[in-house]
Amino acid sequence: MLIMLCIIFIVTGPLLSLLFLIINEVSGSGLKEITGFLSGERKVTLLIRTIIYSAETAFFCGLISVLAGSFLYCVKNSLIKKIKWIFLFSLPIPPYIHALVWWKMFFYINKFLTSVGIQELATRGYGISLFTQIMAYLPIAMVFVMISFETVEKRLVEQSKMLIPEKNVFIRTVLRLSLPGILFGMGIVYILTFNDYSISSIFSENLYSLETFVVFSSTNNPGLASISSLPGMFITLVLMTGILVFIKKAQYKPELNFKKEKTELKLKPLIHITGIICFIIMLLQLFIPVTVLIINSVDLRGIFYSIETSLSEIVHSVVIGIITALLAVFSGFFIAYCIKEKKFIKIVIAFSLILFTLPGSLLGIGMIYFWNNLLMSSLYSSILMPVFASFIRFIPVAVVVFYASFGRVDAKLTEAGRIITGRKIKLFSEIIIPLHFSSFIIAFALEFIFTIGELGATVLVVPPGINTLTIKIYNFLHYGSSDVVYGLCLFIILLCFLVVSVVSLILKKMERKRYD
Amino acid sequence: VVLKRLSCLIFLVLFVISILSGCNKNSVVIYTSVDQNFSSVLFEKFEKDTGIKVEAKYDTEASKTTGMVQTLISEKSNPRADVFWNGEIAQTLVLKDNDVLGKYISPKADKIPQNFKDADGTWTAFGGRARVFIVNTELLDKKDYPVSVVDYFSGKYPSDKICIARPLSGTTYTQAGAFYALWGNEKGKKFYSDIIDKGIRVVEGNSVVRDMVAEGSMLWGLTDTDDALGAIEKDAKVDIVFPDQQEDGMGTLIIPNSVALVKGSINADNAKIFIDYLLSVEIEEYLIEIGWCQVGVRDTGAETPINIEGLKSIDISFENIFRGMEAAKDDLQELFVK
Repeated sequence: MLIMLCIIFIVTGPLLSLLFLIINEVSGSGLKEITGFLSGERKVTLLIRTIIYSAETAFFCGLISVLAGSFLYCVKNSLIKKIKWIFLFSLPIPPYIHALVWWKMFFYINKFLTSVGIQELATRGYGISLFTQIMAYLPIAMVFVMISFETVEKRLVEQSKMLIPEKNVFIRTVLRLSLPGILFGMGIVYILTFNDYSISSIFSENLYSLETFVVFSSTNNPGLASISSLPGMFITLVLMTGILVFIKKAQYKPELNFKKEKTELKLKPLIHITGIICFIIMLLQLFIPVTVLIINSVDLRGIFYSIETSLSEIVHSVVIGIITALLAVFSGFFIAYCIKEKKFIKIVIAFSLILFTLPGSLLGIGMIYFWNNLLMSSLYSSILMPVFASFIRFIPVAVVVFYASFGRVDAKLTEAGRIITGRKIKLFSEIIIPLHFSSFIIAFALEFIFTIGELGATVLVVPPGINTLTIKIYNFLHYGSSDVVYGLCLFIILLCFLVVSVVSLILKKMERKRYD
Repeated sequence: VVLKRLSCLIFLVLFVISILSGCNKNSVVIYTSVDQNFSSVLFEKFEKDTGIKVEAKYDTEASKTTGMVQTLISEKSNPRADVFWNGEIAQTLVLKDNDVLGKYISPKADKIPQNFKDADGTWTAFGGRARVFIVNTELLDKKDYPVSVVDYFSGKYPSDKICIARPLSGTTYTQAGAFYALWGNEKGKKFYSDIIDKGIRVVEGNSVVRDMVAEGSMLWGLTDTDDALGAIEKDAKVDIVFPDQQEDGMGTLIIPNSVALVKGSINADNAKIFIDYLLSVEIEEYLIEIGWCQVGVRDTGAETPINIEGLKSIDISFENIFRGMEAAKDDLQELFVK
């Protein structure tokens, strides 16, 4: 209960501060002004267009990931099977850098087209912006698709093969059982797109999140900016609640079957061909950004120089990333457990989910109002502030990862483990972690990667004297040191890969111990 | 239970870390919107020269100083910063408006012209940047360079090959404030609605203007001198043009740095030492030398990286620009966010 109260205190405190600012704003400016603010035709049009844009991004990310995932699921080539997680390496690249990289790519393509006398591609507008947005968020959708496919019990697939034609098994069994995880991944992509104007801005396309930022920057009024973000928060709340309800309804009780067993499965020819095409798209979304980053990073000496001059930022980022990921993983596990066991908690969780869609800068302001007082002075000046900022923003990700995991793991196994092991530490290290092995890795990796890339809230609450890699990257971006920026981006990819690998190895060792 | 104990342990460790990291030292806390690669060099120099440790908090281009200003306003009741060093002036006026700034008239600012100092003594402006055209020299001959901001509508250039940063924040917003203050609201709005109507490329920020022109995808655009000089340093084929320098031209907008003491500052003495240090002629020269400032506000004798001799600047007070920004706010939002 004490832990739960601590989490609620950290998560909902800033939200209450913002709520206070909104109430203050409503009483100060009058309700009329607020309703006028929300009902302007331009804003409504912008909001609708953003909802459609975000939904399209989520849909295409989901579709491409599912098709590419289906190819990887059924492919017999062992090399492709071994490298299937390689797509995720582009995940840590900040969305804005993705946009710059693709913008550069279009520039090269247009140069070539002009030289051969073909009309240039349009480098601004809805289509090109949507394309880049999809490319930037594909790895996120792919994580959830691949995990969902991997955790489908192979025994069920084999049984289905006996009952229905093999070519139908993928859609009717694998896809159906994976749907909750896939939908959740799409939900995450939707929310991230809704809150991100960095990509669309590059291609002269405006989204609702820009409106919130502009309200914030031109009025200097966080209350009004919070009101401006209310429609987005409401839609996200409905979406996330819907996904949680769906996950709960669609739960099945297979044993966790993350390894060893192999299932041979054939796909319908159309799915197979589109799967190959989407697999190639997945390769492009990785290789084009990484290649452009490498080409523009000047040389290895330049990269080493950027790393050498950013050592303190690297240390701060890793410390903040690891603490946040650990905190979020354990809290996420605990919260998911509480949601499963106690119904009243759901209201609190639903309330906290609102923070997931809150623009980072507003969350930062809420945190300042909440934490910057004489009582919590020491905490406010500490490294815990950026930790809490990322924790609040991304905790729902860990919660849902574990919530889905609880649905997959038979509770009887945990109960049996409790009786057999007796000792609680043993139960945790030898039964619970191995049973939720994949979820721990995924939750940790996602939390770490999201934290490393967090900017909006971190830049406001990071204490003086502490700086993160992402803040430095955006600072150098302004200065025009694209070689340093690209070098640091490559380093971030490497860093995320290293940290996630180390954690995976530790957990894998624990899992192997259980099998032995 | 194990999970609870583990979580308790994590919380306890984090709490101890936080208490330890919150200890006070002989230091000064500086919030700055100045690019980190310039400001951090100066902070190191200040630490070496005075022995006072600088705890800096930086902003990013992405948040356009807004985040930092909001942080200062939010912290007003319990201030953490001692000094605010702003790379421009408008947001400093926002802070004055919100009663965040304390009063301090630095003896080192005596040679700075009066219009660069607040009458109430809350802020002082010094060397800064200018709003200039960056022109691609491979795509345009010198005779075809733009000379005035109204050249956006001269019809001489394809509208999708000239660009401007979205005037909703940063120095581009300050420039919009200057136009509104100078021309009046109607003419100011017309300028920006014409930008939209003619299909001129509106991009994310000044650095994007610089990059697009440097790469050759745009002929020219409006940006800041520091951005343009960054491209020149990287051997890009670009040139800098000061707009509206004709005899009847309105002049170029100069955007100075500004520095202010934060009201209720914990380390006020160290803060004043830093402000004096920053406002000294030697440091203004130094900032010009390292490339942060391109235009001085007093005669320092330092050689500037671009020739500013005889430069005609827009004759308007910063307070009027600030009021112009207020007037432009809703129009620009309606025009550029849709």
